[in-house]
Amino acid sequence: MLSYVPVLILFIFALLLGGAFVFLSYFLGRPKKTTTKLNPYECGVEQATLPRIPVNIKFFAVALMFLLFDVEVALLYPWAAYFKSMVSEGLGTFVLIEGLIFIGILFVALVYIFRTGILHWENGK
Amino acid sequence: MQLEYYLIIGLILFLLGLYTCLTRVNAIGMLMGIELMLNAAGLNFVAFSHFNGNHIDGHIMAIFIIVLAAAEAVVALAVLLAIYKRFKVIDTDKVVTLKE
Amino acid sequence: MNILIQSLPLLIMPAVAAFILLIGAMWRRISGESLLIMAVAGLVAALFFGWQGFLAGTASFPADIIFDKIFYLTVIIIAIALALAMLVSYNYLAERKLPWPEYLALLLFAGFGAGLMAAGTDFIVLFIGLETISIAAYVLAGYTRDGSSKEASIKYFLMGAFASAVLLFGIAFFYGATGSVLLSAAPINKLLMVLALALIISGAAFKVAAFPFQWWTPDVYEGSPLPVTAFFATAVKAAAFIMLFRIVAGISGGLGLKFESLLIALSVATMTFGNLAALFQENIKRMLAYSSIAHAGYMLIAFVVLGKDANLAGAALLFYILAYIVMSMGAFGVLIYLSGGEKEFCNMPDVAGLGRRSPWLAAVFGLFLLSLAGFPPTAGFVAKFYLFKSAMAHGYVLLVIAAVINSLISVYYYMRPVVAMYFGEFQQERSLPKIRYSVAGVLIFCAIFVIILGLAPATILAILSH
Repeated sequence: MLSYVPVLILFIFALLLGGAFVFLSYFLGRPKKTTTKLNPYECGVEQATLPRIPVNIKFFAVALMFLLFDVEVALLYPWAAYFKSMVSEGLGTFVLIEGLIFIGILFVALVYIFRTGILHWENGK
Repeated sequence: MQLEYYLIIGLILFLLGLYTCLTRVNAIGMLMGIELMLNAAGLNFVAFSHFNGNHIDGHIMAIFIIVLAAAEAVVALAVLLAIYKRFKVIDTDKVVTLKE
Repeated sequence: MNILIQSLPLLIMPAVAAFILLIGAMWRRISGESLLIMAVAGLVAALFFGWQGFLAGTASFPADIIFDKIFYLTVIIIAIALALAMLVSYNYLAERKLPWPEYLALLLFAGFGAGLMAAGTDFIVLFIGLETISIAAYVLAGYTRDGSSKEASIKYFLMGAFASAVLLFGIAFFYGATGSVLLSAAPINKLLMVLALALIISGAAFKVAAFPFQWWTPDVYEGSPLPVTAFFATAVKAAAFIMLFRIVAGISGGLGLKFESLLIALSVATMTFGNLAALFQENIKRMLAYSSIAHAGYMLIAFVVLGKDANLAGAALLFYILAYIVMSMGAFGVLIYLSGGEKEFCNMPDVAGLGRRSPWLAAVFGLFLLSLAGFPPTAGFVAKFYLFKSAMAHGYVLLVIAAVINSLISVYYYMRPVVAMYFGEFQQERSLPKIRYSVAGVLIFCAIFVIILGLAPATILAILSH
């Protein structure tokens, strides 16, 4: 049973964090009570056009970037899995630097993407 | 489970991918076929690795295949976006400017 | 620390590529020239460190990477090819206002992939190198805004990814048959191994554009922008051949399985197809694409010899690759010189009468075409002679006869542009573009190199024979 204590701690932590956010937004947000906002929530806006409208090309670009970065992280999995045994073999610094180099390459790519304005949502180029 | 089962599933996946690749006209369909073939290879790697005493190389290669498939898909989709802008179709038999 | 220095020629290329990408994105106003100079400087540094490493000798790396003489020589050759490809594309990109940082970075990443392919002793490294260079090549093929460029890109991608999948499936079976991804692993299961070899050779044959898998080449070469085609014909082809060399050398070392006759058949079929298809092409770019298939056929002869004498085959192959790089880069360079800012002029009538309008350009183009056809005293002749001699020394007489007949056929189509240049009348009133120093420099460099390799090959051969 003792091994489940971390799970319990996690639950408590999650509850605390979630509760904190709700309370904070309630006290700090001071929502204005307009009539529209007091209406009960239905399924979004009424459908005005056909669903197959051409989507803004930025969605595709962002989706592509997401696909790339999402999957690149898979390469960190074996690194993380072998990190402990490598440390016990005395190769800790080497492996850490290796991982940092990999993340650094991803970071360079991210900086490049930011600067080229693909993720810039409003009136980019 | 025996090794043969995995290999047969891998082979079926590969052949399905091959079939898709050869019969589809739509470029995205062909891309899906290629992904199937890549995944068949990945499955084979993991299966061989498992029956080889969880040999590490197979697992590493499988992860690389996943990443690679994503990278290829991104490049292909980006090119297809450009093609769609230019030709308004992505069917491989309509995107023809070069003579045979 | 030692390891780091020895791998510098490999690591310098992606580092410079990332730097160029970042600086190009951070500081949009930077001019193409400065980025180009940075990239070429990086390649020169890679060349320098490669030469240092070559002098220092073989070093191994923990992760199935070997830095031997072949690796260093490949890095040097690839660095030369990439630097030429960058310089030759200066006006082309500048006139079309295409972005510089991505172009240079993709070329440098491709160089990194090529280096990995030359350094790998297991299939994981080889495959990652192959994909690095392939993905860069797919993007580069579609670099201009023309429809044909985009079409070339998607065709190259679909066929290339298909071949990669086949190759990968073969590697999976190889892994199953040997229990290891090392190239030199000995097979436990013979049946799986035969299957694996068939798939691997098919996939690799696609990448070098050998006979039954060469259909993508003409379309991709014709549709891609000219400097990119030059890059495909030189650096990508060289890297693919080095990878095939590693695979065949590794596998035949651990296996002793005979696939000599298969390689002979591949070689003869490839060169015959390339030469016959090139005979009646009206577009010079497309003709050079078929010619590159034919040259791939000649280069496959080295793989036949490989089983008998690895050193001789390696030296002959590397010399051929080097000669082919300078002469085909030169030929494409002339086409780039001729092409204007809007459109490429690659048809036979476009070069007609060039001999009178621009004698020097015509003479240089003639030199490259003669070299491609294999006339003495050019690089093409010595390369072919050396390759055929090595095959002859091991008793492949019929193969050599087939290759010589093919070379004779090829003279016809290489001479057609020459005849058009000197005896044809130019049709349209198009003034020749003004002198462009970067392209002219590349042309002069290639021409000098073609003649040096043709007249005094001994030094280079001695270096390559190590």
